[in-house]
Amino acid sequence: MTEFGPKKLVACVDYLVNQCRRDLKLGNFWRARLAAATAATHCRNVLEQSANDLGGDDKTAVLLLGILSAAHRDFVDGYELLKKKTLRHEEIEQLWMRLLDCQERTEAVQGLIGGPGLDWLAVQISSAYDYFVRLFGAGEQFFSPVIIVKRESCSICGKDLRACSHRGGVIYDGKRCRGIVEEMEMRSCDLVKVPHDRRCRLWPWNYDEATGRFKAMVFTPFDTDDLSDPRDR
Amino acid sequence: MEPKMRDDNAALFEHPELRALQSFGVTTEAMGKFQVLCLPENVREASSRGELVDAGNALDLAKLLKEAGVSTATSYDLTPEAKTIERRGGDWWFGVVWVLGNVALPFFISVLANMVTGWRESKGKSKAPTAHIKLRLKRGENVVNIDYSGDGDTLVDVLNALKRDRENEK
Repeated sequence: MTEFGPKKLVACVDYLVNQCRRDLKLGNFWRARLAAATAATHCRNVLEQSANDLGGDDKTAVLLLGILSAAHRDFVDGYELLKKKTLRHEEIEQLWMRLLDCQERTEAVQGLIGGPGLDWLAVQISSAYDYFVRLFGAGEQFFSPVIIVKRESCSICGKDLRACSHRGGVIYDGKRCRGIVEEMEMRSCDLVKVPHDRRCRLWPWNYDEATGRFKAMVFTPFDTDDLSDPRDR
Repeated sequence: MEPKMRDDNAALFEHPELRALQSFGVTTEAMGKFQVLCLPENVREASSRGELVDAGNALDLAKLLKEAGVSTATSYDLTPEAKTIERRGGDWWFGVVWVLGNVALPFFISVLANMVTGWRESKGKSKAPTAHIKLRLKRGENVVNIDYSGDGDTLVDVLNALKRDRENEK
């Protein structure tokens, strides 16, 4: 793994994407997904089990490859649903989630790694998203909770997030910095047009006319560098 | 860049926000050590240090400014009891930002412009977020107050125009 440099990373990504693209063209969703999911799982295992054997740059490279593999896995899941002739409400919601998962993961690695494979995925996810929006819209209303965070520590160094120099969303030696909320209270939940998390979308069928209540997500556990398979959750 | 506490800051410390900060036990010497102060968004309204809340994006802004070499205070430096309010909407909330050092303004504009550009590059098709900021810029003994809620590009344009004005004044 110590020879795992940027060139090898790009080669891995290209191999994965080419295989994924071939299988998608053949309509072999199962194989396409298997390739992407296996790559994501492998990266996760390397990061969890062999982290001590790797240098900081190698860890970052493996994490980026893992995020990209997971983006492919999300894309295959979404594409498979998009090809269906009819979709149930839950499937539409699931499709929206997978498209956003893929889009956010692709955005997270863009600028950090390159290669034709990544470009291909960016184009594919963009056109899949546009197609979805033409069918179901981009969403008018989203839930957006307002939270008072009383204590929050840094996932990299463990200090108070305000006291350290690590910035949220930035990758340090294969770990993405985020604030770990230790104490919080929820103040309210707003309906907004531009949300932090577009997965918290209000769908027309979320409204229960009998009770006059909405049933929709306020939070989602999604994290770009969570490489676990949503089917295993 | 070496921050300097100058006599003409004395008038600034009479501003209601900085007076409120002093009422929470923060000395003018402590404030004067920094070129930029990222203050809790309710610094004027809060009645105790425990009620202070930082805006959700103030910390990111402060850390970027520190990376650019600007000495920047967050609530952790001045009023560590402050909590953080996270509005999980897509807007940017920066709270109250004081630019005390004249040399810090170009860095501040550049950091803000990079945030706007970075956002646009990664999220090209999405609707641009609204930036909310109460910006206080030192101009001699006076303060320019900008309470802004709007798109990031316009905010950067306004600040660049202010910077040009200052340069022309010299």
